[in-house]
Amino acid sequence: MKLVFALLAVGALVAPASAGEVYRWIDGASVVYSDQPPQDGVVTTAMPAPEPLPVVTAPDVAPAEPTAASATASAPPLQNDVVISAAPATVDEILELSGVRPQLPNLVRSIGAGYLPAPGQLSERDGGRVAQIIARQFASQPIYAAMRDDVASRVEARHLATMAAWFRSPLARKISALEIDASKPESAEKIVAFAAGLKASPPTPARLELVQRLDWVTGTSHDTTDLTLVIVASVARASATAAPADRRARIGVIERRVEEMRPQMTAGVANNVLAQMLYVYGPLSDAELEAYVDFLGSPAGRAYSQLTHAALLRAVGDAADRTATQIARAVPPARWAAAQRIAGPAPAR
Amino acid sequence: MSGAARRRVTVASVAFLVCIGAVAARAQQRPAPLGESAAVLVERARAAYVQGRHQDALETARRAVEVAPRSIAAQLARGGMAEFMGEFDEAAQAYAQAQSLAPNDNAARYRMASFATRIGDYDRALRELDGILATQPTPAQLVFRWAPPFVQRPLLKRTPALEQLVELQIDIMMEKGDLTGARRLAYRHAIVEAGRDYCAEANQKKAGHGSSDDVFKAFRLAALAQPESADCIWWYGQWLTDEGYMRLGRLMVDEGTRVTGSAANKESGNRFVRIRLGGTRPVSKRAESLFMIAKQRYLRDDDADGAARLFDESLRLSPAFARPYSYKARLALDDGDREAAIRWLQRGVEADPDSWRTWHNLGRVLLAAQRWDEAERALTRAVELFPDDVGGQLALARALYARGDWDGYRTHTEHALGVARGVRGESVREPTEFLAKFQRWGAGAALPPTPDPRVILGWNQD
Repeated sequence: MKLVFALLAVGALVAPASAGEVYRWIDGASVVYSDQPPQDGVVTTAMPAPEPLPVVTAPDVAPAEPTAASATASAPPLQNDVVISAAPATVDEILELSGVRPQLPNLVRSIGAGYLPAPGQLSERDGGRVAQIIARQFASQPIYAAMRDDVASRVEARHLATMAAWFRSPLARKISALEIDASKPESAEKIVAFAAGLKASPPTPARLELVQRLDWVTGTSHDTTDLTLVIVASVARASATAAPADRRARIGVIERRVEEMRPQMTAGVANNVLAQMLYVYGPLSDAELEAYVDFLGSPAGRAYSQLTHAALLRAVGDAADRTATQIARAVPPARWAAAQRIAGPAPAR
Repeated sequence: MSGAARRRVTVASVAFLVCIGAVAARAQQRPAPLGESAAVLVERARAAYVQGRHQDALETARRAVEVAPRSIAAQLARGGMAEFMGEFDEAAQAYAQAQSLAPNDNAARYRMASFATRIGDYDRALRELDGILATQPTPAQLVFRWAPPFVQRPLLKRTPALEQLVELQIDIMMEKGDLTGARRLAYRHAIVEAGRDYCAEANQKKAGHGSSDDVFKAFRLAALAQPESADCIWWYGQWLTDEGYMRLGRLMVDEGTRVTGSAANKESGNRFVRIRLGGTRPVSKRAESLFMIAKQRYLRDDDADGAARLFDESLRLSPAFARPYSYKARLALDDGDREAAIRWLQRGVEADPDSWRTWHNLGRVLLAAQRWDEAERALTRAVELFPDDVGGQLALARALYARGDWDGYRTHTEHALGVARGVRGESVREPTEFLAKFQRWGAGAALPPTPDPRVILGWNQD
């Protein structure tokens, strides 16, 4: 569930990327993602699924008109394209049903976009080099594979079964659909409009309590801050590596400085996450949301949150490091006309 | 005293201050019997020093000596910069060279006295200062030695060099442990005056958040003027401790502990010396000075290599001195080498198993490495040694939380918040909010925050 909030936080840092299509289908117990459509005949599941599954994301769709501030996400239909079975759970299935996998392409694309130069910042040739590096490092499939393997190596079987029981339930599928829907680029403006209207139309105390508890049991604000700092640190480290030796900051010093940003960042992220949660789970009743919070607060729910977060951090962190290092090598900082956008705008004077 | 007598004293004083005033400035002012380029180099070194380009200043002073090895100004410039940078062998050589070139040169004498104090050669320092006084006309010497405080006060005020000399003498006596002699000197030369409550003034500055330097000076005067003011002497010792003056810090805290009438305070003072000042473990003055200069080179000049070399030398001289180990660990962390940092801190606690701060630092690095069990052991030791260690208690609480020991988390957090609330509540806002959520909803997914606030004077900076 956290990916949607990480995506929104990263989206606030960077400009949306242009993106190609991503295809998804189920192959036996595995869910396959590709930028190429599946070949005929490879789709085999426990249940009939004769057609290739539809395209998951279409980020280049024009943004929707902003909605009224009080509007929350509308409940999308259940994910009919996902196979539910009583077979032993797999990590792939959990990541699919929970919405991690469907949301990942948008997330990695948004992060990658943060490394793109602003128009005019680099020559066309250098800009092309940077774009190539980003496309290579922020392909969602290898990042997903790294995450899946990471989770699979750490998850306990008993937790996996409990996770599956929850994520296979209709309520969990409804929630995943809401999260996936909110992670689409066209939802961003709706969420901003919704957050702006919160002062005028505050949530009920019970609902606020529920989303605060949701943030608490999942550590979403904290983890979103982690992810943002990982990206900032990777850029800072790469810039340092490319700097002349006599002006090169030491790695540990950079990490300490980045870490010093945490307290300030945490408060801002926490507020955003709460507003986003209020939007995303708006269509749920308090009882439904409470059931979700209860699952996430259970040992299996905690394990799910912790494992997916740690796996995401490692996979994205590695990709971010590789990207930043390769960009710094291909286009040394001196050739960047302005500060990298990932560092955010200059403070107002 | 009659008007005529007072005038004589004044005339003698003026003559005296002219002699002494020339001492400190002589290296810069005296026309050097050297080629233009050496004088220019000395001036350039001085400018580099003023601009904070310390390594440049030392290099330039070295070149000045190469150009004119018989120039006292060049030798003193080189000695001064080398001393400032912790290159003590080079400084000693330059000052000795300057003195051999001009055995009666008071500037060279004064610099040698100051340097000798820095490396703990107090007898040599006092001899040099006596030598300076002996070169003054007899009336001036008599005035300096015997004139009453109301004459001394304006004399010192108008003669910074003279005041500097007196202050150095006082420092030497304090560092030698002769507090009575230091106090006598301070009263005689009107550095402090009877009947004034320096202790109250110092406390006011402390409460009013005066600059660290102002607070330090105020407590120093209180320690000199009011031998019975146990708390102020103690605060002075704790300030010295934070700054890295292990030896004088130890003397002051010992003195405050001796003077206090409270048994609890005596116990607290003894514990402070044991867990914060190395107890009876020897720390040479030279090792202490190297450590303090290394800190400056690291923190002020960002000169990690130079600092590392001086920390190593400090440890070679005093292997049981715990504080350089923490800085060696910090340098390793700056290089991104957490394992090396842990090894340095482990060596630190082996060298001084009672060093609270080294255990605290070790625990926090282990915590960052998510080595929960080891972190718990190190931090448990830290808070056993110093239960009011807010940052240590919070860090221990995090280690326990990570291991699912919720009661342990709550106990240590509540203890830390209780200590901090009375001092600086704002510094623990996040842990307070985290605990409130924990108490409301049970354990959350994120680990508790672990700020390490500066709470009490005497327990910081390493």
